Amino acid sequence: MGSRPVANQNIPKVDKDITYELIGWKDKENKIKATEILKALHRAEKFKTISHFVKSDSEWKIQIILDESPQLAILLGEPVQPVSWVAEKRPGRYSLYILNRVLSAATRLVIPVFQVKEEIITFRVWKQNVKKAEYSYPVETIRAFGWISLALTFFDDKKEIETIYSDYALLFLIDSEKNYE
Amino acid sequence: MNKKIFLSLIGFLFNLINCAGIYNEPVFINKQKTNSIQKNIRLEFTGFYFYEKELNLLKSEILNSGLRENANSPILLEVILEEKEYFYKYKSLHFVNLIASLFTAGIIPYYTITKHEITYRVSEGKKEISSSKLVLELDQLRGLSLLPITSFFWPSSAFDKSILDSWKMRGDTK
Repeated sequence: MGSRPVANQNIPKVDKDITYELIGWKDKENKIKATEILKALHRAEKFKTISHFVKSDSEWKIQIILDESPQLAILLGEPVQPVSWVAEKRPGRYSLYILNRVLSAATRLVIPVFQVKEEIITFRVWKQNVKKAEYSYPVETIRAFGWISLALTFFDDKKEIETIYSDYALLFLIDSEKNYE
Repeated sequence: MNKKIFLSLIGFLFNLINCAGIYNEPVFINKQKTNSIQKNIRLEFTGFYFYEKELNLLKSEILNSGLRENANSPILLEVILEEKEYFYKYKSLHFVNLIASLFTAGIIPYYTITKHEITYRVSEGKKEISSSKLVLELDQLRGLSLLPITSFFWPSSAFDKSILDSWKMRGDTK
């Protein structure tokens, strides 16, 4: 994973009611991450109220969007994108994937199977239906599956990966400072 | 590892490109009557970060249908694409399919479905004028036996078609 963003905890207050809308957080794993972001937004106490966007009756809205890159599963799995996606749009990565899987099968998982996933988290600030600002933050995770990684499970940084989402939420609050007028 | 198993595994992996996508017509899950909207709109695409090609196709389709993009328009058209998890009706059968496909190096094709939801939302100021949501499902087969037909049923093309059709169907509800 990439370097962690540093977020200053002193966030100036804005006297506004805000609604949020989550887009693209499809499965269980993603929902945990989305909860981390929402928790961080609430804890920062920047806004007067934060509530879920139902119909557009409020003035301010924040869209929290997740875009996930396609990835090959350990073997095949169930991709959420059309199956031809990786081969068509990332031919370089696709051949690396194949090479990696051939090698790890040949060495009986001494060389681990790697999975790389890119995520883009986008925050958009809307006033009525006018977009005031947009901020995107990338998260890249690499997973390894094999004997060596099994031995290293103790050093797993999964917990840390979860906090990266709340860090980005705080960073967004700081970055978007001037947009609530 | 048994050499045969190893080879069939490799064969199976390469079968990722021997695939076929079968087009399904988009299905409405939320449908609102739309009065014909003003010609000038602002467009906002969401969820297309990794679907750049599809974004451009859909954008030209929307602009070809008579709408014009104008950064100062009070009308906003949002197009939201979301990937969804698909839950198979017969899970054990699906698993048997995987195993069968794996050990025949993909001569028996492996069947999967992807699911997307696309939302068209029109708003003016605070007010939401209309919102339609459609489900796009794509049946896909992967396997060695599909090699001869792969280029005719390329999954991305089937997916593009269903995205474009969802816009046409939305227009029909006027």
